[in-house]
Amino acid sequence: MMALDRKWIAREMDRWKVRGLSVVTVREGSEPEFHCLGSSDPAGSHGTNLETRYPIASLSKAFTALSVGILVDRGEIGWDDKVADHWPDAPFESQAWFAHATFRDLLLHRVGLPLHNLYWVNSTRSFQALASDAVFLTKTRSFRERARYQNITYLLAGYLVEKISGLSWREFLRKSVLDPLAMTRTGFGLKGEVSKPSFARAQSLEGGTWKPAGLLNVDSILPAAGLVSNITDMGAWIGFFLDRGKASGKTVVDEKIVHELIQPQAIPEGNSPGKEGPVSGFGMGWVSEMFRGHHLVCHTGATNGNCLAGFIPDKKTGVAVLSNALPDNPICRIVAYQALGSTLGLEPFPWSDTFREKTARIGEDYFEGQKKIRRTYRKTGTRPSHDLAEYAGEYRNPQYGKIEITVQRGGLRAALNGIRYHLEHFHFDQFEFDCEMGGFGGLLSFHYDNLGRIQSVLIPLEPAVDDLCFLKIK
Amino acid sequence: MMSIDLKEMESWLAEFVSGQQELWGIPGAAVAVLLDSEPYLTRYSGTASKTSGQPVTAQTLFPISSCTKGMTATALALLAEEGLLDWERPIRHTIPEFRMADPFASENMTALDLLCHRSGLPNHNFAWANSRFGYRDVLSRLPHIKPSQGFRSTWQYQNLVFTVAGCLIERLSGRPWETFMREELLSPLGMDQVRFGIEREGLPISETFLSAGHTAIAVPPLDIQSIAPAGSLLATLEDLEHWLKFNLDNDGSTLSQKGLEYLWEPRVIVPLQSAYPERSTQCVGLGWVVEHYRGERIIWHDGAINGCAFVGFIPAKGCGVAVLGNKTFDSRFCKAVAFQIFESFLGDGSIHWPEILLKEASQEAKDQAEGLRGIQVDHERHKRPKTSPSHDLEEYTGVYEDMGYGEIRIEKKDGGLRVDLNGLGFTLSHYHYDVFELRSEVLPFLGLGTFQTDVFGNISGVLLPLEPKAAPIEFRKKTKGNG
Repeated sequence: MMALDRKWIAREMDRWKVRGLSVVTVREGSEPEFHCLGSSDPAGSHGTNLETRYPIASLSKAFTALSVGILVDRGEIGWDDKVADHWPDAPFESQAWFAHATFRDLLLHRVGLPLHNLYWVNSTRSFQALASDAVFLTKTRSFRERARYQNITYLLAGYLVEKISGLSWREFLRKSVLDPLAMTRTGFGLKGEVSKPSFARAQSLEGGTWKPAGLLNVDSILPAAGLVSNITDMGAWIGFFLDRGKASGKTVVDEKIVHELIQPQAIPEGNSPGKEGPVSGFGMGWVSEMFRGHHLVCHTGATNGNCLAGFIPDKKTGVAVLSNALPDNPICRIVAYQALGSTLGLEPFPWSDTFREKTARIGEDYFEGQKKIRRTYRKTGTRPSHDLAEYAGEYRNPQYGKIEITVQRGGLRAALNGIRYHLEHFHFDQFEFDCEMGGFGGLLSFHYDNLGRIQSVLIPLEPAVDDLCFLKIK
Repeated sequence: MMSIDLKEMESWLAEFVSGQQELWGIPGAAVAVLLDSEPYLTRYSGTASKTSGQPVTAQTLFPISSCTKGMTATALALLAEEGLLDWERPIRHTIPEFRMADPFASENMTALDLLCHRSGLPNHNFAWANSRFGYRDVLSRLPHIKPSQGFRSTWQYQNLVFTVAGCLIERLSGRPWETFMREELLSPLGMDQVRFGIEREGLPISETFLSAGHTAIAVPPLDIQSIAPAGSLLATLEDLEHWLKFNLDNDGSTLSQKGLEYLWEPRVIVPLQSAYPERSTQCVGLGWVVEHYRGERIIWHDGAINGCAFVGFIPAKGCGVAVLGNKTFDSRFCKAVAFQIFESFLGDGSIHWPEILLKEASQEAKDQAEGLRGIQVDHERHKRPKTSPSHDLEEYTGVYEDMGYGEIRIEKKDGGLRVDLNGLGFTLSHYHYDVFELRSEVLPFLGLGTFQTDVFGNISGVLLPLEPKAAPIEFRKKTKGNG
């Protein structure tokens, strides 16, 4: 009995406008069931197959968490050891939250940091450099008050694996995880991948043609979102968790470590009680949720593609779905839920319709809505205090780095980590900024010193904290 | 509206509760069921006092112990709504002398932390059971109570920390905890029969019974004034009907619905996997446990000191249950009754909670006995032969003190030593050198206590592992002999 029907998958891909997808269903005692449909490239000349390489984005977090788990298993660290004790030359003050953070805290998203995505998106700095400076980013919550999904503490965890093991994170992962699991086709970052025909390029259907989406450089965020893999390897990955730490019958890590990784331990902020349980809980690299009365351990990934890995430990069944759909596409959940439901012998459930309703309800783009609200308090008849040329220059924030502001075609432009923003005068010294990649914008303010020189710009790059201050340095 | 036949339900409940009393050995019990947010059924049965032969009535006061927590938490919510309390502001801003053993916790602890059992402290039950401290003394004792986990790192049930909520209410409102509770919460809700535990004389309070073989014997209640805001209230079934009605059908005149539901938000995951697919992972909110049963959210708490109690409700269904019993140290009778009632509303009756809980109880007893045997075997294995105490037994006697736990008295008894901790007895029998085996006279507790000698050669203190999860408690010797 197959878990999935190819024709059904093809219909769903059509319905949700997905070009290429690979899925594996893993069940104890039987061979994994693979389906690869559609094509990997926009031209449609390469069909997906078992070797098609997908960015697995945030599924990478479980690999980093397991790396830490392996160090715990070896007795080199404890889950609840203070990280600072294993990083004696750490560049921070003792009163920083970091002085109290444990390895568990880093992996449970509960140190109080919000996303701060623009801190690392497209950054060309090394993840080691980003990890050290991240300690000084502004927090939104008191330490361990609530858990909030983000990427930065996974950088720190990856960085610490290097510090403690003496190997680079890649080498460590290769030797301790990927090789023992025979995940030989799993690699790091997009360098050299994009040009390969077997690479599944994120794309969307626009006006009847498939257009490749812009790719984000994830080299700076490898331990949180940088792995690239194929569906064969992901089948081995799920099998390893179903076998509670074993690969081909050999113990890679003690099952206690696996248990610890998948156990729900922290409640995400904004958690709203569902029908099946009071919480979805963060494990380490995994999220624990209820799926039709079963405890499902799951994670999704949505950078440069769209993917999901999940398994139900009690039922020894799991699934991985890799696709080149855009990040907001629900296809992976629909396919995964269908596979799990059918494996568990549950009544079919109309997941696709459910997600269609949900997607429809989200409605208007959030940032478009914000723009409309802003219009209501815009003061009319004002102008910038200075000539536009005086705003141009280089600005610096100690964590986020440099922003370059230039005058182009009579307006201001800004660029951070190669991502460009269009600035439009709003009122007084406030400008409305729009990310050229779409989906992000807000109001920034310039400030001048008492000698009348433009001194700084305040930008809400992380909406959860106060505007970030960039001082003009040139 | 649920389609349940009142007559049928009434006779089912009567028979079921009597059967459960029999099964769990509960001399007297009271049960209330609310449907559509209104009192629907009550059941009183058995004896409140064997001494006087008084039956359980609508006026019988039962110790509701930890069911008090939801009420104290609600009192804080009232202060938050008035703008006097900021849930996420460190307590130090209001109580400057507030301290924990961990300075990081001292600085960062908030009202939320007080109520959701994540302070880093384990139970430390012997620090408050029968203690003669008042609840306000918790502020001077807490800095000396040892943590076993990092601040906010995990769930550990804790009464002393919860007690600080009472102090916070007093500082913020300018009224003692009891007065504030009475004036702002209990009276407005019509919970007029509630008593604060210290008032006992002449009141129709149920006796406390303890299992003794196949019977239940009346025992003096434990003094729990030292954790009053966490567990000292006495209430009648009628009071709890008012309380459930308020939680199910809040008219907003005392507290907004938003303020009420803030208490039900899951905040900390109880790190125990649910053994039953129908029940989800348990979480704690503020003064409440939050879980899902057959897809519905249940908010509940139980209590098991000086009696047993359960208060729980299903907000989406307008259904509530209160169960009171007078046997102490185990709330499984109450849970069996309450969850079977929930099962009859939410399920098809295919789950039999009494059976499940009975099995759980016997497993727990077995595990406990095995645990003790394991410790015993360990002790035998490590015992150094042919050693003796360094001093005459007489020199070990006297009054000892720990700043967190208070005073203990050590006396000679039956050729060994006996510890009196707030009227709770422990024996100390020589193990090796200056190490003694510490055994509770009533509870399944076994550990090793070590006496210390100072540079002058006098017995100066004793380390007792009264909280096995934390470092041993260091009692310093205050006086010699009986002094």
